[in-house]
Amino acid sequence: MISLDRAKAIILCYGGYPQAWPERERQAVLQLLPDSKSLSDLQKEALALDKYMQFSDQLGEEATDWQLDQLCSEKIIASLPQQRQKLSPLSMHFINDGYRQILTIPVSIALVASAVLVVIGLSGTIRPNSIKNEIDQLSLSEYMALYVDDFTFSEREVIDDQMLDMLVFLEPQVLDDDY
Amino acid sequence: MNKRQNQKDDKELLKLIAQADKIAFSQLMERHLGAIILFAMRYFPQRSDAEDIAQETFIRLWCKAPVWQDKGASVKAWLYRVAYNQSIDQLRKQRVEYNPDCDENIVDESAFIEKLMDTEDRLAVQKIALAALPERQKTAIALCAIKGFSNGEAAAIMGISLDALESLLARGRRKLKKMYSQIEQQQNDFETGVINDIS
Repeated sequence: MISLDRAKAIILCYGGYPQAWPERERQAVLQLLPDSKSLSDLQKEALALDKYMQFSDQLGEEATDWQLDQLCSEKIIASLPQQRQKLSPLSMHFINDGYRQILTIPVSIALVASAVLVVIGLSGTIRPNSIKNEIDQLSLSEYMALYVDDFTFSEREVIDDQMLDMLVFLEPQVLDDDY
Repeated sequence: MNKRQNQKDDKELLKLIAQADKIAFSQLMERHLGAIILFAMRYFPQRSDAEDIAQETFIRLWCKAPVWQDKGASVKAWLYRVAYNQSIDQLRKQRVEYNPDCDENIVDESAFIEKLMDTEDRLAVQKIALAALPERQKTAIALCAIKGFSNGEAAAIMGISLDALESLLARGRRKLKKMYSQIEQQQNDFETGVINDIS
C-alpha cells in the first residue's frame, strides 16, 4: 500500500493514464482513487493535459516517415565499418572472472602483505639497486676502504712482482710515478 | 529476409549482428530507426541532424555487438541511451555554455504559447510544447509519456536516479500545465470577446 501523497506524486509525475504509472505502484493508486476526491480531481486535471499534449494511453507508438527512414537505413548500412573481432574466450574469462577475483582478495591479506614489504624494506636485508650501482662505480681502492676490513700486509708476506704489476694496472695512483 | 528472422527478438538479432549479419542489422533498424530519429528530432529540428545522431547510434551498435553482454537492459533502451548521450554531446558542442537544466535555454515561453494558439495541427502541439522545456525535462517526458519506457528504463537511459527522473517529470509537467492553462485562458478570453461583440 502507498500513501495518498505518493499517489498524488505519481499522477503529477506520470500523468493521468494508469498505463503510464510505475507498474509496481499502479494497483495501489487505482485502489486509492475511488476513496479520494482530491486524487481523482488531480487525475482528471492530468488527463486533460495528457489529451492536449497527445500523450496516448497506447504508449510507444509514433508515426514515422517510412520512406525517409528507409533511405537513412541504406545510408547507415553503406557506411558500416569493419566489426571488431570478439575477444578470445581466454581474454573474456580474464575480464569476466580473473579481474573480479583479483579485486576480491581479502583486505586483511592485502594489508598483511603490505606490512611485510614495509618491514623488509626498513630492515635493509634487501639492498636497493642504487647501492649496487654505486658499488659498480667505485674504484678498487674506494671499494677496499669502504667495504673490506682494514688490512695490513703482514711483514712476512711476500709481494711478488706479478702482484705489484697487477696492482699498478688496477690502481696506478697507489704507487709512485717512477715505479 | 526470411520469415524466421522476422520473429526474432532484439537480443536474438543482436547475436546475429555480432557475427556481422547485415540482414539482422537492417531488421533491427527497421524496428527502431524511425523512433530513434523522432527522438533525436526532439533536440534537433532538422531531420538531417537527427539522422546523423541515429546513424552514429546504429553504427555504435554494430561495432559493440560482438562484445555486448546481456545484463538485463533491453537493446531498445541501450539505443535510446546512446542516442540521448549523442544528442546532449552535440548540443553542448553547438552551445558553448549549454546547461540541460537551465530554464534560460527557453528562448521565449510566450512565443511557444503563441505558436500553440496558432497551430491547427493537433500533432504539432506536442512538438511545440515539448520544445519549450529544458532538455532533461523534455527527455524524461518523451521517454515516459511518449515512448512508453518504464520509469526504471527511462532513468537508466538518462543515467539518473528514479528520484531525479520523477523530479524532472514533475517539473516538466508543471511547466506544460502552466502553458496549457494560459492557452485555455486566452482561448476563453477570445471566445468571450467574440460573444460580446456579437451581442
